[in-house]
Amino acid sequence: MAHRRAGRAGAVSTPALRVAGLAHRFGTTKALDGVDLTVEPGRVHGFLGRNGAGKTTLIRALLGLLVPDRGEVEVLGTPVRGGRTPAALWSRVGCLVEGPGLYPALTVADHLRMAARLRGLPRPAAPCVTELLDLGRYLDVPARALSLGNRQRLGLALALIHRPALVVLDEPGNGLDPAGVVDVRNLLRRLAEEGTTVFMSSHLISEVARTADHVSIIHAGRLVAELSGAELRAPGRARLAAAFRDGEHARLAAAALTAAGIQAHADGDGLTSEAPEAVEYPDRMAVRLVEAGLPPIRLAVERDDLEHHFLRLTGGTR
Amino acid sequence: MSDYRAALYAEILKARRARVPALTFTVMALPAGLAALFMFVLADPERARRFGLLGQKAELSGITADWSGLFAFLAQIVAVGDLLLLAFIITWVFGQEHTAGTHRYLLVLPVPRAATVLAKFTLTTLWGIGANLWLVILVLSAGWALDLPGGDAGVLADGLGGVTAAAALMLLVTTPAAFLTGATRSHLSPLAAAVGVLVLAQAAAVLGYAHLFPWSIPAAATGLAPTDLGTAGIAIAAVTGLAGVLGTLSWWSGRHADL
Repeated sequence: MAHRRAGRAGAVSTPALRVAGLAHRFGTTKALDGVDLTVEPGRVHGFLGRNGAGKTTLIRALLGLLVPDRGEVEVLGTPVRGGRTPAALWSRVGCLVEGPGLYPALTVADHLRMAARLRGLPRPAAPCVTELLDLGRYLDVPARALSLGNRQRLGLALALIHRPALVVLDEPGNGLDPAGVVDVRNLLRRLAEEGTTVFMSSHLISEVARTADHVSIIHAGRLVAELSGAELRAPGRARLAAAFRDGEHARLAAAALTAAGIQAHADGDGLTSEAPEAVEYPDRMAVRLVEAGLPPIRLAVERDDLEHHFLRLTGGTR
Repeated sequence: MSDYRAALYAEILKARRARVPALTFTVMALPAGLAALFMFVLADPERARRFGLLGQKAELSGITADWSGLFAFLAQIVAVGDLLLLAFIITWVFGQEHTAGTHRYLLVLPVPRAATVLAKFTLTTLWGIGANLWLVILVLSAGWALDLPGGDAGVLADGLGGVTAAAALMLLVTTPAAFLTGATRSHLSPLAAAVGVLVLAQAAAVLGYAHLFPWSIPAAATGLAPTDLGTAGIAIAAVTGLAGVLGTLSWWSGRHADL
């Protein structure tokens, strides 16, 4: 993407995306419930949520595919109002939503040629993305004969062919092999470095943690957390976690540690303690427990990471 | 205009790469072949008897083995077959986007949705004209090959004029199939509706209201239905065509286009 359109990066001073009070229902189900979100330009913004949390509904509202019941959406400073959104806005936006939309009989080259024509691009636009996404070998292959991973690569190529200022990607890693996931991660990072804003939803928490500068977590239609890049990279809160033969042992162990001035909580067959001494000297804790006749069957210091945050906020278990 | 041209380029490319256009042209050759067979059988009653049941059916159809008879047969094909053919073409052109999940990408292109819809209608119209032209060429070729009698300029002009009018009117009255395809996101609903209105069109013709029921108006134009088309008939066909186009445009621009 070294040939980005001159002046694209830095030209955008307004937020790349702004959502205010967005609410939408499908029948009696609240899909979005007052979502406020701002995405700064030139960032990779990760968007996490469980199935049915409202990720795709929000993305569809961003792209004018759905007119929300309430709230405002602005993309690159332009209000989005479903089918009444100025079509010119979409010349600065690329997207991959709910899988790559491909025509089975059209070849890779046909798709790229058609996308270039529809976006009013000069002919040399396509070779750049084919090289970027390693599609050169498949130019004459019809979409129906492509593997899932190559279909996804083609979908990404179509989203990026016009070098957009904003890319909205719904599960960009779907169907890709591990090497493909790394390629896409590097590509998205490079795009952001060149000034493109990337808004990506995913259920692959580790991938979002590695790729994103900022992460929003949505649950039951509400944004429940926003984590900055510093928060994502900072070492998470630590705790001692021990597992015992049964709940009675765990309860006695927690009582023994608490009696010794080390606050601990039993939960089922396990025990956790966030006391500094327990976290810094897990070996001493192990000795204490053995001496008390309550040997743990597992003992480790765990740190909060994005997965912890996500599961805690969305009511899941690890 | 450049948006429309780009959208039309995309629609033509999709159709060129698919097998469906070739299929429709092949299917159109079948009734043309049947017309040739009828004429071949009817041209010689002795030969018709040797053909057994087929000969009796050909005689029962009331069609004579001359150019007037051939045009009457062609008119029947257009009045009945075109409704199904055009409904199929329109359903495929508009419905493939939902089947392939490509509709949402069309909605987030820097091409106005109206340009996309009009490009699709342009393609269906060109495709319909091409298929009808192909049908007429095949049927006329059969007539010349069988050396049918009564082929003076007046008969040819009347026959071709009636068939052209019927095909044009059919192109108009089948546009609602595009709206139905979008609204139901289904290939089957518009085709089922086409079969349904075909039955109703027969009833309208029998009752003498062919000029008032949009989908029997093409039959009235060919003289198959026992009523004159009149200005009202042409107006009804035009309004139906316009309603189909406007309804489709409205649906594509509306809030449910991506559901």
